[in-house]
Amino acid sequence: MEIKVKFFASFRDKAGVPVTRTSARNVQELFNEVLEDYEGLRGHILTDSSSDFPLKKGVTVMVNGRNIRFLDGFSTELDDGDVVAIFPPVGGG
Amino acid sequence: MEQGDPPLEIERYENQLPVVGETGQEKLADSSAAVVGLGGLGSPAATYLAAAGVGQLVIIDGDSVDKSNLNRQILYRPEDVGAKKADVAKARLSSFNPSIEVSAIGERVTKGEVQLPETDLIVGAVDNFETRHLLNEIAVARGIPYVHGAVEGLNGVLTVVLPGQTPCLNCILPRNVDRKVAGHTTGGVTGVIGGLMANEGIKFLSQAGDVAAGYLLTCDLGHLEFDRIHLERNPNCEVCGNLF
Amino acid sequence: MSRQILRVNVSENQIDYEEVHEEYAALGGRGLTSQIVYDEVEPTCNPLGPHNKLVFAPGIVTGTVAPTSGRISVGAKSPLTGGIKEANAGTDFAQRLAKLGIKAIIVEGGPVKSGYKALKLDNNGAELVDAEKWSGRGLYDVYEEIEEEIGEEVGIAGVGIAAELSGSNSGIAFNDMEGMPSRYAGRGGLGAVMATRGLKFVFVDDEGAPGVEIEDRETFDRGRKKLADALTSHDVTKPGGALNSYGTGVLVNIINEAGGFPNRNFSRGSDDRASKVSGEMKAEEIEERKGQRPHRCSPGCVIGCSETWTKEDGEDPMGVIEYESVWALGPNCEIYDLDTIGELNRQCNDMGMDTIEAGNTIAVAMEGGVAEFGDEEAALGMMDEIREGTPLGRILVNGTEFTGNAFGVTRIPTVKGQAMPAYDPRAIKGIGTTYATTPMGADHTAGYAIATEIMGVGGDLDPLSPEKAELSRNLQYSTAVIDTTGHCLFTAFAVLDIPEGLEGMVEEVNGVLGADLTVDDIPDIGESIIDLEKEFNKKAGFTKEDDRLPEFMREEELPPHNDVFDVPDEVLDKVLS
Repeated sequence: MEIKVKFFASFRDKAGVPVTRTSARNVQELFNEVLEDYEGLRGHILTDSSSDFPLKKGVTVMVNGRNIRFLDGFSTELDDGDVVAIFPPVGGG
Repeated sequence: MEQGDPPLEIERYENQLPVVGETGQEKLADSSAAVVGLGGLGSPAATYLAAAGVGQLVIIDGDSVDKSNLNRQILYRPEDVGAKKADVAKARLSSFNPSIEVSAIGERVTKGEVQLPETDLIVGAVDNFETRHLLNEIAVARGIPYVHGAVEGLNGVLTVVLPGQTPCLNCILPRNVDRKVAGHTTGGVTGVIGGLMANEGIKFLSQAGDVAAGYLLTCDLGHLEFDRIHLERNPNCEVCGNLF
Repeated sequence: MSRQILRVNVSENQIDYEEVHEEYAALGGRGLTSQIVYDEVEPTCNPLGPHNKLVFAPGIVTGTVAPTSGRISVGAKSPLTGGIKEANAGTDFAQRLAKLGIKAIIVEGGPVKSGYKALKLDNNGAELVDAEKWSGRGLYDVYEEIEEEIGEEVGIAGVGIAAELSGSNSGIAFNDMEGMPSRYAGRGGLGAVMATRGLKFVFVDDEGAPGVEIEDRETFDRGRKKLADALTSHDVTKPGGALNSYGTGVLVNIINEAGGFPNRNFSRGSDDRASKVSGEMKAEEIEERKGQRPHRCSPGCVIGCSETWTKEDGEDPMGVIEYESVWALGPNCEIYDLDTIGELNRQCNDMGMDTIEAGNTIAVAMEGGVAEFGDEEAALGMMDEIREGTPLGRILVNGTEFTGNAFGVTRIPTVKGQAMPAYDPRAIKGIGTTYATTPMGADHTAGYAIATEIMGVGGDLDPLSPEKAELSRNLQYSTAVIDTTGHCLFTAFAVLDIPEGLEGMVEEVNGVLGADLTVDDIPDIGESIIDLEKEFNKKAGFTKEDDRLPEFMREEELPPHNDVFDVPDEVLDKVLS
């Protein structure tokens, strides 16, 4: 099983890579693994809170183009071939 | 002073009170300053601001202490090598003057990673122009002074940006000008310029004396020549042009 | 000195300064242009005929030290939509005009096809001067010549070849900080309205100008500080934040990942090649080429989302390439090369065309068989056709719907005749709701639902959910107010999240006007502006059936989410009712 994780904008600089891969089974597991590998990202993505959705304000996490806020949050399940995209706060238009 | 604040420790400041006055000292206690960068310039700048009794000091630096810092970054000791500068500096400055509040942010300011808290003054003690411009832009937008200092070799410069009154950093050194400095210098040079930066902050916050506004103080410490270069604002400056 | 309205009739060589009526006193920007157009323009008139008028108005706080407030609104009856139009731009032209004490310029008379004039304004008054020598030429060269002739510290508004051809895709170009024609009130064909009045340029010199009067300095200063604190704190707007670091192009990747980035004339919502034209990529290229980023459209902007793009060798600066322009001239035509997109954008600026309309026009022309999708040379060739005024060029310069109809295309992404911006409404339904219902025709800036649906600013709503009437309504009302204050729409990112920032914006306005507004008044003020615009459109012949998206968007599923635009008509009808 392979999940593709893509970083964008300033997260790309902080991770030092645009893409990484994991075999996590859900978003929570994915963060556990990925933030271990890219420790510099942790404070920019997660808050210290113990809530079940400890995502920093403005940070967007999408699974196959759907924001996890509108899926199952950190429990959102992942399947082989899924693409997870992680964005810092962005604006424009 | 708000109720519940500890009374000013008169003895601590007894040699400074005749200079800044009692009101000035109270103003310092009620003031806040951000010192961005805790290296060669930031060490003395933060130390003197703390010592003078600036009530709230926000110190920001994302780096850790390196052995090569120890020639000039007087906040740190050999046993601190490897520790976060912001943490070490917070502990040291707090014990230095327990009557003030020091908050530390251990991150770099570039690329907007840091939420710069609202303060009465920003001291830019950083080692690169990108961050200096960022701090200048924040200061101009917020209408608060930006104390600019820089060193290279045996030379240093200093000016204070008062938004709407003086040229801003972008008037004198536009962003698109490529500037890289190596940062080779002695502790004496960073001590002089960092000390001047703190003193400009103390003067502004206590309203004791005129700050280095509208001119660049150049300090040639190789030949001990000091000069003032008059600065003109750029009327079309994209950062501060609308303030005039 | 109280502020004045300048009325100019070019064909009769008449210029009058008028006192500001009481009912205009508390207006500026869009609120004022729409009110004047409503009061003075016959809604059924031919937009290029003698009865249309063009109105320029800086915002209420424009020209003061209020942060990020260098906006100018331009209004008229639109030749593209046939309805009322307001387009605004960020430029020091706006600040200079406001400082001269001019609340609005009303341009009337004509129509003419030659004998173009320039309106020259300074602290001593106004005059019309001959501008014929600059006719038929590219605006980059012309703006440079104007600066040489009348000075660098002058604001310039102008129209180009597209307007001289009476094209429905012709915008009004304002100068950027380098004097280039890159800041556009682009949408809706306002350039052609200006050109047919006989006016080619407006030059504004504010030397010695009195500045904008502020009735209550203390309130103004308090508001200014609150707004500046909000803008310098919010992650999207602060120096070093998202817009400052990457510009609006930072959206390419996120909208593409969200499946709402229209590729190949709105036939796919994402494409792996989009990363080649992303904001991250563009910022890297700019750094390498030693262009400028960040950059500001006007002095005193805290956000600084602009940039200066150059050719590969670092030469020929052209100004900003916005997210919308990258998309329209790029992936929507299956072009994934920033240099080609940059050249197409340069051509649009040079001829005075809106990039969103131009990119959509090229895409429907490709769909209609004029060229293959992705054919970069052919896209550039279409620009040459316009420049030369060939029959094909005369079709293209009239925009997307006109061109689509000319070539028998059924997938024409327009509302009220105006082409859609860079978000597919089938994947992001709130923005589709705005496209359908705003009186402006498909316009993302009329109610930028993306902020909430994609960026989580001002709340969180699933982009695929069709329940967006309230979101779109609230955003449309608040946007009409922001467009009236003279603040850039991007201040909304901060003030939607930071209540003190919004308070500050209201206090700035109170300070300038000596008024007593509160944050709670915002929806009502916004509603009254939009009601007026809707009323104009109704009198011009619009019905609720015009508040719809094109048929294909209700029927053709958009990959990757394979959804259609399913917001019911009844919901659309209640958005602004």
